[in-house]
Amino acid sequence: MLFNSFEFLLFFPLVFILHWFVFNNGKSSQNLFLIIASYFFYSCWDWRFSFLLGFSTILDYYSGLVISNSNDLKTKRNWMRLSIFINLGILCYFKYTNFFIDSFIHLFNSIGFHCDPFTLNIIIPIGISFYTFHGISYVLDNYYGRIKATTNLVEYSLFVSFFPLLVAGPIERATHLLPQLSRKRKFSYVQSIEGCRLILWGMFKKVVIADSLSPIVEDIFTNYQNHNGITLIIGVISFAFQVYGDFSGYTDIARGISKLLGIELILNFNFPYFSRSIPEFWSRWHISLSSWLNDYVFTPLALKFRHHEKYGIFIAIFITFLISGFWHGAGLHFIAWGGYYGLLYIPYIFSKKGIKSIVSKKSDPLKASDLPKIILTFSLVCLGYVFFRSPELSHSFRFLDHLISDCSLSQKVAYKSFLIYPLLILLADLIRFKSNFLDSIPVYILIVLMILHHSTNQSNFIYFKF
Amino acid sequence: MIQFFKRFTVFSIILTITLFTLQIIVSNIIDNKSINGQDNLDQTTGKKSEVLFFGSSRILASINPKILLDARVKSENLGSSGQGIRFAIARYRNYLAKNHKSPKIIVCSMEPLFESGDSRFEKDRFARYCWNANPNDTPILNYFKFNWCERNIPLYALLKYRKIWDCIFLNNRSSWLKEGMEIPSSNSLCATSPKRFDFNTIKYNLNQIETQIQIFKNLAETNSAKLIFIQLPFYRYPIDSPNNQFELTEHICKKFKIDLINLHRDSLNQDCSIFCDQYHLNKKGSDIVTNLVINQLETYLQSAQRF
Repeated sequence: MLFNSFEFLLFFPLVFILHWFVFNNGKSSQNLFLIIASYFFYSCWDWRFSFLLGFSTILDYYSGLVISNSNDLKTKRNWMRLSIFINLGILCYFKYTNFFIDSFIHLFNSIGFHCDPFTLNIIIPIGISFYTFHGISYVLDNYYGRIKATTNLVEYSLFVSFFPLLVAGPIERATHLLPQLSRKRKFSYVQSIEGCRLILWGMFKKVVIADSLSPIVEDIFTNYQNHNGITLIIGVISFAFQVYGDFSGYTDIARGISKLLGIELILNFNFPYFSRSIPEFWSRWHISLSSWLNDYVFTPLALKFRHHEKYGIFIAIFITFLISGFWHGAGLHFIAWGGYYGLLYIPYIFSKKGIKSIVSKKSDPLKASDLPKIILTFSLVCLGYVFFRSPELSHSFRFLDHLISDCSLSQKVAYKSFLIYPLLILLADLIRFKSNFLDSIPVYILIVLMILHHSTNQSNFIYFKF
Repeated sequence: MIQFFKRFTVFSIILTITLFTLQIIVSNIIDNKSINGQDNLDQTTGKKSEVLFFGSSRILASINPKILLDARVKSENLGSSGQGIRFAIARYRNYLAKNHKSPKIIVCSMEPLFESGDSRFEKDRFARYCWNANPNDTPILNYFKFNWCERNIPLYALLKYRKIWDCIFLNNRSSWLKEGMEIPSSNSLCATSPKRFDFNTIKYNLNQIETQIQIFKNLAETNSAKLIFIQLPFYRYPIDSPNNQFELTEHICKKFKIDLINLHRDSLNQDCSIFCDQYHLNKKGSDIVTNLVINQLETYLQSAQRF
């Protein structure tokens, strides 16, 4: 059941009405009802995996309780390790088994041992990367004493399975979401109107921008040999806005739906393509994942390697980005994409300012003089997208080779008219950021008409596969 | 909560009024007009044609009703891109519902390229009929499986299938004759080297085809019309086709005792100057083929009352 599907158009109003009018007696009934709705939503993809979700929930809930209630450090550590091991084990089995089999076969073949290629027929449970990270963060927060484990299984279960964020995030933290689930939610007019606006903007980004760019990106990346360098650049820029429209659109819809149910989710995107540096980009792009990796991977690693000073920071950042790449998918091109960002941090780490240059400057207002920095950052991000979008690593290099060797400003460019879509999304972002001009009924009616006009090709959200 | 529902209701009402108003304006613009040549369900009312042509885009690009009219044969070319025999039957039923009398002769394309039917290609061409549909057009909408929303939400089908601008500006009609034929390109295939056609890609379900043929034949006979099949030239066959798929048509026609106008001749198939691509004839080709069809139809028309 996609957010932009007809089924969801029936499902959500029903959930909304039942939530506020039938199951509105107290927090328990509200939470219980949302769990049932969430499991139903999840079962629409494959009901068998709802058992896996249930198992993961109970495991992490119980681990959290034991860790929180135990005074013995060894017991805490053992339970933390057990929970993480099982969570990552499940994630690895479903997501990475075939990748590892394939890699080992290649390795054996390359050193002279013949192995016949084979893969296991494994279906990846949708959203597994997201809810696994929810669970791990909960257990680690308990272990480090940042939160006290909840004794209410219903609340914890809803924290993991809440349907707007179940399949593609944002990756919520127990510290932010659990307190909201532990009290009765009251209907708020302002929150609900903002929710409706977010849903419409999200649909606009997904259906009008991302889905319109999808076929040209597909064509350019698949048949890159038939296009010249400038067209390939247009393809990469188009993908940058496709993935932004797709993922930030999904997040906006998820946040909008949650607001309508009285729940606030964390901000996941904050005008990322206006970033003036790569560290700033990562503080604006997929914020929930970046902060998760910062808290649970980078910080422990940085502490571990602190004796190596700047080199230690670099190693911690590099490993964090490799994990980030691997989290996105089982493929060398994703790892290369992560490694590429790790390398991009070198100038910042070894500059005079050192670690201070990595600290976010997103609160600084944008100035006209920032434009060259913004363009440079966006170009570097786009270069990374070549690895991200390609089906395999060798394809990325062939694509880049063709782009460089066949690039001239005098070339005839295909698809240049499609650059209107990136301009549209940037303009909408800018205007919405600067004023309330776009928050009027005629504008939203126009948005609805545009969504209907672009509703022919209903496609999955890109981040569903992660 | 009440305030939210009030606001939501106001927005919904304004949206509904906007959609209704725009739909009514567009409906008035396209009333009794074709926007892409093949959406001519309204234009076939009150016609007294002697011959109807059904089939895919190959029929559409091959038979010129103007040449037939010069030979005093009043006809309509109701071919439709990408459609098979099931659509031909639906289209014939639509014609009957609107005219209450069948032409004497029904000519339908029959060949391996003509599918048995679940094709939903180019349904967008008929999206304009979705809203407030004429009951006679419902079978066509059913054939294309337009859903409830497309049929009942004003403007939705036109927006979804991106026909709104064609409807407003009517700028996509120039290459279509009133009688429904696409004016073929004057390009010749001789200067190009077309790709080989892989006949194995065709899902030719003989059982389904035969069932539909029987339905079509019965329908024509019930309306005192003669059903004739036609097989058109295909560039370079049999060189590109290892099997004898095109011979199958003769076999089918014999089995159902349906006459066949077989223009699938080597002399035409090998002549690159009459094709604009591998499947479709160009202007020269369509003139040749239409005249050949007239010659063949003469026999059948002699027994029918002329206009």
